[in-house]
Amino acid sequence: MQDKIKFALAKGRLAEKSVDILEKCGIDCRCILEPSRKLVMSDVSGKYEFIFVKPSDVPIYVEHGVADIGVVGKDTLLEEDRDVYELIDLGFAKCRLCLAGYKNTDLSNYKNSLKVATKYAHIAKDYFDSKGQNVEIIPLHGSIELGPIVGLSDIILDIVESGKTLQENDLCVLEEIVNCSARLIVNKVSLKTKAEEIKPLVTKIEQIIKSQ
Amino acid sequence: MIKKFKLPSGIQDHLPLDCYSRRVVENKLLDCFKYYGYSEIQTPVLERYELFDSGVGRVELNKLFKVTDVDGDLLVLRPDITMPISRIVCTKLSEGSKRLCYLGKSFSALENEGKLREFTQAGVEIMGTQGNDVDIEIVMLAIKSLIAVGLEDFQIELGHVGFFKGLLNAFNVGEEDREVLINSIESKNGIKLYTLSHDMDKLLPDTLAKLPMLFGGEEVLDSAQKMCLNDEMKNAVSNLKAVYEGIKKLGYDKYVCFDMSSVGKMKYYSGMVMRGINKNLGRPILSGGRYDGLCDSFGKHVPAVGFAIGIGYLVTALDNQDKLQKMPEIEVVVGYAPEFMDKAEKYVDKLRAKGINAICSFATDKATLKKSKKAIGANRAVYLSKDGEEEI
Repeated sequence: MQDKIKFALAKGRLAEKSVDILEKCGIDCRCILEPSRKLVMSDVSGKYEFIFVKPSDVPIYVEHGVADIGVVGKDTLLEEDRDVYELIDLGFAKCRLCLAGYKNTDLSNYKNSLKVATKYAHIAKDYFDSKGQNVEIIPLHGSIELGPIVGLSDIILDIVESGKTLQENDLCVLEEIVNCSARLIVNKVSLKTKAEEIKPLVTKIEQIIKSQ
Repeated sequence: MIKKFKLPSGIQDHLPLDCYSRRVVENKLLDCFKYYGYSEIQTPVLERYELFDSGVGRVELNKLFKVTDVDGDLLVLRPDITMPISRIVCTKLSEGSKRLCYLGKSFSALENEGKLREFTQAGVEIMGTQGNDVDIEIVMLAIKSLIAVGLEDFQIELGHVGFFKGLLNAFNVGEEDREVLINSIESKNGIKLYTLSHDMDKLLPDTLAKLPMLFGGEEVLDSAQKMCLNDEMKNAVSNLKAVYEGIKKLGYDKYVCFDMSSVGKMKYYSGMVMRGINKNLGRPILSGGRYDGLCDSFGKHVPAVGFAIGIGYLVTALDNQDKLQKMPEIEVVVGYAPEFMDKAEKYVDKLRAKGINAICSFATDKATLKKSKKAIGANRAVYLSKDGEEEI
C-alpha cells in the first residue's frame, strides 16, 4: 500500500492559498475549506491527510515527522529554527519583519536598554545580539502595536503587510529586518523515504509557482 | 516540594519495560560490533572544557552542559564520544589502525522540544586508516548492525562533504558566504542558495539550484559526475561510486541511497557522510562520516571514520515496526510450606535451567500464593508441601 502523505497546515489564509496550489497539483482538497471543527481530514482518494495546527506549530509537526509537508511563513520558520528542509518559496503571504515605533524614535538614544515588544522573541534576540544592542524583550501574543502606545515598550518587532495598522496607531516602520513569504517545508527523512510521492509533487509546485 | 518529583527538562527515566527493550537492543549492537573486530572503549562523562574548544571539533559554548570544578576549572558533560576517543587514540594508544566501539550517554545543554538533553548512543570508529575499502567496511557495519537488531525497511544515505566544498572552491566563494551556503544546503534552502550566489558566476547558482533535489539511487552519482568542476568534486563522486560498487558486490545495495547535498551535522566531517533513515521515524537513527582532520588539534594526523546510532530513536523505530523485544512475563511463581524452602529453591532452579522464567514467592500458604500470582501476573502458580506439588 502506498504511504499516506501528511500535510500540516495552519487554518486561515495560508490554508486557502495552499489549497489553491494543491488543487492545481490534482489533489482534491476543497473539503478542508468547509467550516468544520475537525483537526484531521483526508482527501477523497485517501492518499493525503491534512492536519490543522497553530501556525507557529507547523515546523514542529514537520520536524518530528508526524507531518511530512507543511506550509508556513518564513517569519515563523526563522522564529522556530527547526531542523527541516525549506524547499520552495511559495510567493504568497508576503510581508516584512520590521522594527516599528513612533516616528521620532532614535534607536541610537537607547544605548543602555531598549524595550522591544514582540511575538518573535528569538528573532529579536538574534537581531539585537548581532548589532550589539542591549535590549529587554517583552514577549506578547497579539496586538503588539499596543506596546509603545501604552508605554509597555519603546518599539516593537513585528510583521508588516500593508502598514495600515501601524499608520492608524501613529506608528511607522523604523527598520526592515527581512522579507518573508510562505514556504513549503518537508521533513528531512520523509523527503527520502517517501520520495516517490513527494518528489513529483515538489516539482509540480515549483512549476506552478514559476508560471504565476 | 513538587520540584522534588520533577526531572529537569529533556532528561528521562527509563522504567523497567523500556529499560529491558533498550538493553536488548544495546547488547545486540555491541555484540555485532565485537564480532566485526571492534574493541569496546569507555570514556569519562566529565571532560575538561578545553577538549571541545579548539580545532574543527569545536562545540559552541551554549551547547555544552558545564560544571565548575572545586578549583574553578570548567568541566563539561561530553557532548559526543568521538572527540574523547580521538583524545585517547592520540595520547594513550599505540600507532596503527584501531577499531573501537562504545555505548554511552552524551549531553546537550540546549533545550529543544522533543530532543533529549541526555541521550544514549552506540557507535564505532575506525582510526588510523583510510581508503574506499575502509569506507565500505563502515557502511556495511552500519547496515549489518541495523539488521542485527531486527530493523526493516531502512536505508543508509550517503553524501560527501568534498562534493559541495569542491563546488564552493571552484568558484572561490569567500569564508562568510561559505558558512551561509553550507547551512542553506543542509536545509535544502534552494531560495537562499540561489539568491546568495546570484551575484557570483552564473554557473554557480544554476548548479546550486540543482543540488537540493539531487538525491535517490545509484543514478544520482551519474548526474553528480556530470556536474564535477574540479578534482575535489571528482574524487568525492569516485569515492562514493567505489563504496557503492563494493556494497553491491556484497549484495547489500538495496540498503544504500545518496544525497549529494548532504554535508553532515558535525562540522568536523571531511569526506563521506552517512545517515540511517527509516519510514517509521521522522528523524535519522544513525549518523556518521569520515573526519580526517579531527585529531589535528592533538598534533597528529589520524584519518578516521565512524558512526553513532541513537538508541532512543532506534528503539522507537523498532517499536513502530512491532519489532521490539518486550520483557518476558514471569511464567511460574512457586510458593511453599515453611519447611519446604530449600526444596522450593531447587524446584525453581530446575525450571530456570529449562529456560522457564520462574520465581520463588515467600507465600507460605495457598491463599497468599494466589494473591501473589495475581500481583506478579504469572501464568502459573505451584505450591510445594508434604502433599507434593499442587497447581493453584
